[in-house]
Amino acid sequence: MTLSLAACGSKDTGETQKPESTETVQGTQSETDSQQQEEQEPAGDSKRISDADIEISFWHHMEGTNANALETVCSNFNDTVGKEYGIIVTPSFQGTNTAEKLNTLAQAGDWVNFPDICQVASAGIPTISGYDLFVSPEEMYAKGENIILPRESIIANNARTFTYKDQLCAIPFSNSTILLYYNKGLFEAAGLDPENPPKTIAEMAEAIEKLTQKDGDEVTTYGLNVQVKRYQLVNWVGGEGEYNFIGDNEGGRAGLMSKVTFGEDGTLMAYLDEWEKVIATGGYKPVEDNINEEFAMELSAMAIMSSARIGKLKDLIGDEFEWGTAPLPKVNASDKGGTAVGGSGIVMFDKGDADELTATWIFQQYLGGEDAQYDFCTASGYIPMNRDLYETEKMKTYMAENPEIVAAVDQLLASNPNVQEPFDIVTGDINSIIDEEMVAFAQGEQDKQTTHDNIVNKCNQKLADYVKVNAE
Amino acid sequence: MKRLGKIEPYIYLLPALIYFAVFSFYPFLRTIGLTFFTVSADGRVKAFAGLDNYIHVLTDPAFLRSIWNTLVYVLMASPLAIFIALILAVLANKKTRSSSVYETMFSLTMAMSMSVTAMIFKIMYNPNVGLINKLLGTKINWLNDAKYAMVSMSFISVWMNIGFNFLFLLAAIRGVPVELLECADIDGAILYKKVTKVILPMISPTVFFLICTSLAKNIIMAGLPIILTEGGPKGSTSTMIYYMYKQAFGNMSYNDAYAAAVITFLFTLIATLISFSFEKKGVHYS
Repeated sequence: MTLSLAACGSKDTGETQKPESTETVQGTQSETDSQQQEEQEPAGDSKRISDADIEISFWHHMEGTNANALETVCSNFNDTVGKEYGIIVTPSFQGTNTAEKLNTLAQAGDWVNFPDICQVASAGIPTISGYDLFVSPEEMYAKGENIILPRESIIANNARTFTYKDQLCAIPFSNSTILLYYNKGLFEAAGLDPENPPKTIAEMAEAIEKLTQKDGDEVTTYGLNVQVKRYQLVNWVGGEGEYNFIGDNEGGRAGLMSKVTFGEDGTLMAYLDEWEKVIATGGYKPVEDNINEEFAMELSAMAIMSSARIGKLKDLIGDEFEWGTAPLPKVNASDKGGTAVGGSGIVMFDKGDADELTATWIFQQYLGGEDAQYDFCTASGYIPMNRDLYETEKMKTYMAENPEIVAAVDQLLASNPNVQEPFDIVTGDINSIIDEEMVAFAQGEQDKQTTHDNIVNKCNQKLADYVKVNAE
Repeated sequence: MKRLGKIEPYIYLLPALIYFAVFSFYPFLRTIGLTFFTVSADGRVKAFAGLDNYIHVLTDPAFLRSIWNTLVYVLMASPLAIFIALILAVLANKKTRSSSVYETMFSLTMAMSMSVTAMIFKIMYNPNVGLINKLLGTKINWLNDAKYAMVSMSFISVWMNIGFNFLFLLAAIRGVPVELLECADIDGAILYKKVTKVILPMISPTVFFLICTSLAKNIIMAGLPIILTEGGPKGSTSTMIYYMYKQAFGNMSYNDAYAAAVITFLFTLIATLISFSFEKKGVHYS
């Protein structure tokens, strides 16, 4: 407890004290000074934050191939920038829900065991931003010290994903967007143009009818497989018109979200009107069993999934058949909103040591830099969040060689930054509500109006329960 | 020396007592205490709530469904895993040259992690490409149809627990005095009679232990729905502890989570007390 309090109490000191050595890190010296220093000191020592190496603990939630990619990025950092500044980063896997781990520590007041830096899903931002140790990139950019990742390099959509109450709370890192995956061979066989996938839900419904294959009454190939849960629904509704916040207070980004707004503004019903056409085809599979494998085995001609699955599908499909990706079909042809950015960002904490904070800030920015984003994203399939990277030859070459990712990048860049997954806090309940109601609708157990009313009323009840307890 | 002798047993108990006090009793009592307060998402106690948290949880259809699901799961998973393990243990009782091979095979399931097992079964349960539908010639959606989902999860649990139960029961059966079984043979007892009249009474302490641990373990099961179904479809696989987990970490509602935890504890306690009533009637220690 004493240690915990000490860590909390020393926060101010950590923020205000500036290590002497960081003056050199800030780039305030003239080029002449730097040249003189390089002549006088051994190469690589000029940027060191302190005499001894600073160790940074980095919690992440990546597994498998993605974990390997992340560890390579950390290793590269330690060998290059880390060596220059005297920083050693140690990554450690903390399960798939790091926000949950942080929350457990925070409730126990165990600030000592907090990591210096942590990868978290965007949904955890409102809670994490309230921790005593939390330091936002917004504050660090405002100080103007040790900037190695210009704020402008972060794509606005990705920045907005991790923005809460006008503060950029995390550096985006492993980001994705929702896509339509389709089997080009089955498109051709059904007389559809494989280079012109459906652009709206209505067009998709027409395609499903042509793509669905049956043996008697039994469907052997579904036209479409997607289970509509929170993730899918908020992308469709969020993209309606110019953009849609889904809930009040800008979908929870300007303050506590206390209700959903997609009922009162008619956007949910507009979506259900279109979705009814998909259900009516009889070739839509409304539950996901093994969606990757089933698409790879040509048991479904189209599937709607995150772009983060591109790498997995490449492995599963190989050269078996030609497939492609396309932007998420819109609810209305006139919609301009686009889709939300999914995935995780990097948050940092002030453990009371100014040098450690500087080192953490440098590593946090490095993860959003061109090199780290290129290495990580090309190995994992995520979409880079660094605007400048797209101008480089290596990225242009990568995208030319991997056309599946082009649709994801184009869609992300064309989307309105206000289209985001809401910070709805009771995410688990809202996900279950939407899932259950949409499956019941798809399986003909309830009509459109009941589905609409149930989603709106049940979500609002859960949000009201949360607000009742947590409103200031 | 005499006085030391009296406190000596307590000195031996002290380390375990301290351990349980810190990691079990204190958190447990604190949890009970917090169920009577309103706690915010960041863990701050905000107001006295009386029984509101319990009323809220016990009027939540999702939690009531979780209670029912848990009971169904326990009734399907616990007896079957012990029964199948008992059959295997009786079959494996006689020592032969190949004993070690099939003993290892029967007990291998306890060496499998739950997450790995769950993922293997997920593929096997797939309605389109899964092995189970291919073998049965059916098109059942085992994990995504509310009618079958809990049965499917119970089957995984049975499979996983057979190995653990088998090891205990085999050791117990091999501990049955040979002369008793020979007497039964001389009296002309068939295998069924030998098992029910000789072996089962003799191994009843082990069976009792397995029933108690199995009930407690299955009532607090949450791993399978977390990995496989997220409590769906339509809440059909949400257990009490899964509900608690989801409220605490999915919805940041510690009020519901604390109350659900205490109610689950009461269920476990009742199940254990029922088991102990069985001990008085059916367990023989001689």
